[in-house]
Amino acid sequence: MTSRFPFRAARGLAHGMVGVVAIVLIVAGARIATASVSAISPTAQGAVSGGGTVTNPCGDASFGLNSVRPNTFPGGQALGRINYDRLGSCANAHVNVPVVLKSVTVSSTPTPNGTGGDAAIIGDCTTGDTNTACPTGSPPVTHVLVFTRDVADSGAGQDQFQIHFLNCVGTPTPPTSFGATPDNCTEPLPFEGGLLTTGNIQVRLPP
Amino acid sequence: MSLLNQKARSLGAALLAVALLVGALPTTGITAAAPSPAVGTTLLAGTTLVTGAGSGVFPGGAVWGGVALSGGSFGQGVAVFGDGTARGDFQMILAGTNVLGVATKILVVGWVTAGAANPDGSASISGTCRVDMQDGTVPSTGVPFTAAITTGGLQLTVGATALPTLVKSAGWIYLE
Repeated sequence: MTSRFPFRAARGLAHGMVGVVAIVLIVAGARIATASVSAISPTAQGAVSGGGTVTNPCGDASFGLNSVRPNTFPGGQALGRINYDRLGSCANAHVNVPVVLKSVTVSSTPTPNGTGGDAAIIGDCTTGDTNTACPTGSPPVTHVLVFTRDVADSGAGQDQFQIHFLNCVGTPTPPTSFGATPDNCTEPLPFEGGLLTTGNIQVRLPP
Repeated sequence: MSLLNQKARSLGAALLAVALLVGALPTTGITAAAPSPAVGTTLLAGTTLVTGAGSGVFPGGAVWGGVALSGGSFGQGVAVFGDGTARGDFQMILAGTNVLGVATKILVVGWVTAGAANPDGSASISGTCRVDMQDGTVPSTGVPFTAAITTGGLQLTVGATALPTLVKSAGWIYLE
């Protein structure tokens, strides 16, 4: 009887390698596809700043934002400001709100200048401050939620600024995933923004 | 039976290899950072946040690179610390008319590294910027810039070119 061992072994190895390659491709593909969708935490540290322009249905809009969180703020609270201004004569043009909540994650693979990460920043439209401005909606806009993504030192076409207009029952719950609307909020107006046209966003650990 | 055993062995080897390879794959993109109580403790002590978005107008006679400037828009988010350092971004789009009479825009995007909160309530920031004259020339990078910012406008100096103050006409500039 002639032994077929070497051939069967080789065929088995080949089958195994095909399986390995197929499964590795599937798994690696899934990792790459989900790498940019990160968990953001309402208790993590991370300072966010940025300025630039994005497009909206009316044209261009300028934005500027800052958000910081002292360690003494334990439950997602944050400080800072969100400014958003539709340029030209667009209706519902202005947003000027203090930051009250934030979820953030700082990248473990930062840009050459040492920044990178995702954040969800919530501003309060109901402060009663005469300088506070938010678009009008039905139901009314009680909060704005800004998602920022810092992936490059040159933010144009790469970093993201996306602003959502929320109607919340009570205090909104800080999101734990990028792009998620808080459970106790609805969106009476379509969100605006996306990839930056010009400008930059920085997400980094505070000094 | 032998064929089944062979396939089972192949599958087992594949799964083992996958487990090893996945563990060895480099982590890409953004991963969650563990909360660190060691950072940020004194974050707000002596920190001034400069935030703004809007547009404004230049006084007559404002010219840069042959472009007669009429106005512009801005977006900025900068944290100025008590030790003279600052971090954040500054962006302006300056609108005007070039020597051919054609409407044009100049784009300035700045990376802020230093700043100060001034006694009069204004803030000064500086760093390097990228200037795109949008006239077909290659944009300049690493150009030093400074900006003096108040709630009513901002005065930008890029390299040796000091522009007049852009007076805010829409939007907000906040220093807090």
